[in-house]
Amino acid sequence: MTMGSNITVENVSKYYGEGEAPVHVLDSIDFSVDEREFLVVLGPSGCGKTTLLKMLDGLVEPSSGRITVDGSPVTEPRGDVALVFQNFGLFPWRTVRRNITLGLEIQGVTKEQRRRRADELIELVGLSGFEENYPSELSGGMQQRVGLARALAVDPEVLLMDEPFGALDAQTKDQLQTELLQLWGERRKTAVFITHDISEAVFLADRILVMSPKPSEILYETDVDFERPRWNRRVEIERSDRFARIEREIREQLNLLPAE
Amino acid sequence: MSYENSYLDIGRVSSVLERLRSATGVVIQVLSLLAGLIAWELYASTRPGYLFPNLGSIYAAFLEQMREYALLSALGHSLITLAVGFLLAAIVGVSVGIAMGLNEYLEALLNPYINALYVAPIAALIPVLILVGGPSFETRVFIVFLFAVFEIAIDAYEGVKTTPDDVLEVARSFGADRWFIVRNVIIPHDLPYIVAGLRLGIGRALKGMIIGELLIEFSNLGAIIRLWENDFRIAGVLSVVVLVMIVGAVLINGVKLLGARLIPWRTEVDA
Repeated sequence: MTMGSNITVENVSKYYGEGEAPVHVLDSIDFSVDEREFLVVLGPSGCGKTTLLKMLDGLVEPSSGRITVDGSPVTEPRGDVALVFQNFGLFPWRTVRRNITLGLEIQGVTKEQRRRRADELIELVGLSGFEENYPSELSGGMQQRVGLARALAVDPEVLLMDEPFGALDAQTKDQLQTELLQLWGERRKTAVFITHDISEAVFLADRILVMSPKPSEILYETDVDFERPRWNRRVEIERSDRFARIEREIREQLNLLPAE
Repeated sequence: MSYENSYLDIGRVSSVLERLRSATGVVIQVLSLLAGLIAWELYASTRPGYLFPNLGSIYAAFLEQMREYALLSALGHSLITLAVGFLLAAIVGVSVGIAMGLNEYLEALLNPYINALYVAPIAALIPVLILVGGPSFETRVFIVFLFAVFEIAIDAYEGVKTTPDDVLEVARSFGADRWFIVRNVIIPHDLPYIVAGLRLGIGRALKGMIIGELLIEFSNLGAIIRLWENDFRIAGVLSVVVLVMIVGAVLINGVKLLGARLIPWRTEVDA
């Protein structure tokens, strides 16, 4: 059996710029993610959540501190970690199928295998019949399904998601959250999901880290222990007292409760 | 899913609307052309024919040139000059443009030259070119090349420089190396810019072709223009000008068609 990944972030800080006034984005962040855990990082816009995620992906280097995935330090993008982007990041010149095979091409997988794998994922995310369409011919929700399929195609140990539904309308967002949980139930990966949407965080997460504005540190951490699978019990979960309580706690931490 | 179906319906409606709009466009173009010709004809009827020939005499001159001046064979030879010069300009322009976009040293080195020569009045440099190259086919090809190459290089360069950061980041996130990114991100993004450059470049190349034939070596179409000009037979000058315009329109549309085949996705550049 292959080992699943666990992530450790040790005392990580990030500054942008140099000289007299560098921008302090992240301040001594410390946390870890268990194998197959669904961690949500929640925080206000501009708090450095995206920077944190890009550091986990190896796209951005921490100014200090250490990040490891599966025991080895992250120094550059690697095959066992895949990222889903906020604005989808699809290649306009590639069809749905060829967008999904991007990671496999880079990893040198043969054409035949790439095609088989892509068609499997197209089916999984419900895009059958759109294999040869270009991204501009798809709605936002369909585009992000392609983004998700592209990340899953490389069968990563760790799935990183940067506000993946932030650019979608409320209904599409709702639908994709449910689909994501269903997918994740079938192919359990270690997941780190970034958002500023509190109820999205509570519905998806095993555990939530709440971050402060810049320079960001971890304000608060809470476990969310609704049983899984959750995707088919959405209304029940969102109407529960426990859901309301967790939401309220987080609002308190972020100073989002109106003064009484 | 009903979701996808509604998307398809919208797509169908918008494609019908688009076709309708382009049909209206064609009608307006034809009407505009007719109006221009009528205006020409009306004005020509108030002027002496040797100064401002009417359409009939331009057409008559065209027929005479076909019969007695081997107009079509002259056109063929002119087009050979154009083809060689333009092809060289396309190869050099696209390669230099992409290379400049990819390498900042090359960019710093070549940018001043490219931009200066792009706006330089090349026609004014013709005496120098004759001095160096003599009145020859090669010199005329070189003029065509000079007229087109900077436009093509600048556009290809622009496309590389405007590659969006987000798609570059996606490629890097999946572990792509530089070579993969150049082939699969930068060049596909640049393609519409390259085609736009070729489309603008071919118009400029055509001008270079005629200027070369008028000023460097009296030959082909340029020679016919000169002969009729010297006899004050303006109709025969205009007939060649119209012929060149038509050839230009055909070539530009040819590049457009090639672009549409090469670029089946939607782009922000009107290639």
